[in-house]
Amino acid sequence: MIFNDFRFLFVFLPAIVIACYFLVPATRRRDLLLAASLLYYSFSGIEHTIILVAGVVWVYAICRSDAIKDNGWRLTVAVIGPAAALVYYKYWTFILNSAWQFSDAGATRPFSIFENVILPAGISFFTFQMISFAIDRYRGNIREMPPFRSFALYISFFPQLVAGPILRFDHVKGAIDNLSRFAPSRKDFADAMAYIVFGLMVKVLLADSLSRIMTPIITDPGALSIGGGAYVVLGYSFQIYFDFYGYSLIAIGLGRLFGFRFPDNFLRPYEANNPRDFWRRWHVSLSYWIRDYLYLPLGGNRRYALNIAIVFGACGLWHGAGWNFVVWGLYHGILVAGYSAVAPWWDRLPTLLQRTLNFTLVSLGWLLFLFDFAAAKALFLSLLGQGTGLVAAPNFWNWIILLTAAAICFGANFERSVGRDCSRRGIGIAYGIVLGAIFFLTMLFIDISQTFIYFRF
Amino acid sequence: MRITAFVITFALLALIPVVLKGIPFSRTAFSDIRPDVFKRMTVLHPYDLASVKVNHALSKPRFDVGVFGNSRVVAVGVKHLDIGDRSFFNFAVPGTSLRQSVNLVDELAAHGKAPKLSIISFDNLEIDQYGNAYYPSAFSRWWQAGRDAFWALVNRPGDMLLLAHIVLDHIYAEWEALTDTWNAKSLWARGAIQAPSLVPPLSKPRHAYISDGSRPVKIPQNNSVDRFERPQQRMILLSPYMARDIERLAALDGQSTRILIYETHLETKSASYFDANPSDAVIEKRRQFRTACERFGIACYTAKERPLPENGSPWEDCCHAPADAIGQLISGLVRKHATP
Repeated sequence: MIFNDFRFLFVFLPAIVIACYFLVPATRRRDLLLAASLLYYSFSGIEHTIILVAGVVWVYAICRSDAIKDNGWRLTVAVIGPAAALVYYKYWTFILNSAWQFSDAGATRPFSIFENVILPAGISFFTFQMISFAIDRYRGNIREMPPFRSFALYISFFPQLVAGPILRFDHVKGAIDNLSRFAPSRKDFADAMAYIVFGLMVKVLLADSLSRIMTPIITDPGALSIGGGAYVVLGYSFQIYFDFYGYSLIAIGLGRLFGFRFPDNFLRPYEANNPRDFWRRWHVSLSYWIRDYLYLPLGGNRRYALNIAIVFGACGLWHGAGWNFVVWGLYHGILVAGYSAVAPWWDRLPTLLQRTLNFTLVSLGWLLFLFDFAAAKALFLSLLGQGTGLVAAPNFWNWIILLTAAAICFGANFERSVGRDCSRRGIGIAYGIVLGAIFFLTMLFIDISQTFIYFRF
Repeated sequence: MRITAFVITFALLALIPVVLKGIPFSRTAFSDIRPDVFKRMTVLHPYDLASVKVNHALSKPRFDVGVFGNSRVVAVGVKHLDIGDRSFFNFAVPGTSLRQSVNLVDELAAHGKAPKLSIISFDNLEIDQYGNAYYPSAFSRWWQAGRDAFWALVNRPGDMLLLAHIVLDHIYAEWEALTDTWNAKSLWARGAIQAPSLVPPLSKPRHAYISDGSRPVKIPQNNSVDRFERPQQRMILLSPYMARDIERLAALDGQSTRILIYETHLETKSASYFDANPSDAVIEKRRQFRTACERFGIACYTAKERPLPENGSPWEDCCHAPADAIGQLISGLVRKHATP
């Protein structure tokens, strides 16, 4: 069950909201949300839910003692459990395949038993939350150990469980502690609905439409014309953005329904002036996680080039178990390091040119996200006019959808819309009517909506 | 944002598809329809297709012979039959099960338009996929759901599992019907039939319906069915439904129509595969099928009792026989059972 699903929107979510505020005693809300979150996750598989619960119990059991503070061994043990699960489920096949490819093991692959391992949804996200908790306990940033159920809810809370944002415990501690006293106002409820509607809209109407247009086009990237290649580059840039941004908006809205205020995960990333700025705006929670728990412990700017290579390589690997993801990460590392080298020159360029240049570089990078090396190369050649042009080019309406996506990406500001003052009756009503119409339009297409791209990370 | 405005707007807009679904199709849908519009009908939702076919029957004199079923029989048209000058219409709705056929006969009978001979094509019991009906309207389906539950209470008292199964089955079917209502593709397909000049078709289907209700399929002569040696997973039927549906048909048989049921055939390789790997569940289903037919006095033919004539025409796949072979089978049944 995913957010863009009738069952979630019209059965699961209303049932949880009604139970939370009308059926269950306020003191039991935390337990209800925990149970609902585990139920939600169990739809992706009981085995995966057991992995999640085992990770929660493991980390909690080791971190509960204050002895973890400054104790590297305890920290290692706490982290190794969830990290091992992550490695097994996400990276083991990749590691073995890579080892096999680089060795002379012969034609027969000896480790086929790992090929049918199904990746638990969102394992990279909740593993990072567990690790951040353990490190914060080690550093003494979390002095008082929360009750087990609060910790379990922090890790497994269903709005952010499978695709973030990657939260620190202090982001949600207050909301969890305050659950029994939280009474949503009409504005809280309205803001939550607005976030959810905007999130669904960009996912279902924009990201999925672009995906449907591109699916037949990208089957043979070497057969594209220049226009077709350009469409794929631009289309995928907007698709992945609206797919993930849409999820984050929905997650923020769902959190608001229960008094949680998740931080924004996207700060208009395609309006970034340079590659460094881009990473302060794209998947912000991951960027800051990597900065605080990897980059700074590695020494930060002291060994700049090496540390940038490490953190961006790791960032790429976090996204996917494949060399194309690693190279994608390193590509961004080179962009960031390269920008640092030419910043005095770059920063003097007109802002529009900076943004255009940055957007182009980022968009070309997504090719490594979408394709393997061979297909990415084929598409790149198509962009240079070397494609066979046999695949039908996108038609007029396809370009209109792309332009609409671009216009919304650069023109709309949903966060500002949600926070706008609607105390004047007319504005509030008009806003409600517009959102009601958008929600209806979204529902018409929701049955053909696809899984969120970031679920597989 | 005013929540009230949001809710009222959404609720009002959400009602539009519900209302649109309630507007009947043109009563002459199959009579004077344009060929390009016939093509558009292949993407109609099963509810809408059933609705079009029923409306067509209501606008015509009662047919002598009608065939009911799903994709396994939808290709059979007048040109495949040898039934003299008897009138014929194919009421099959692809993607549906026996329950839908029963509902269609029931609905037509209620208007005095059930064909004089209703031939029900019933999925082979090895691959039977039983589901609730899409048509007719929600109120009729809810009434039917209540009667199903009551039937289970009376016939299988104390079997709470069965009752729960039936209730959940209907809830799921109604949920699907509701979500299908809010579906841009369904709405568009409907609009492309209702207002063909205004609404262009969404896709270009390969096949098209024709005026006798059938949807002919061109199968290449060399179509290979090798890959269908192990066709599909066996489906375990909720058996009491079968008896219940046969009982419903029995109530109509002889009153307003003559009912015949035949089990669809499997391509030789698939049939041999199932014969070599018998399943207790299917044997039990077959026994129940036979028992119900005998108990309610319905003429039923299993695939083995009434083999499909071998005429060399290619099969579409493991479970979709050539239309001319089915046509020969049906013609034989008509000659045997229809009044002159």
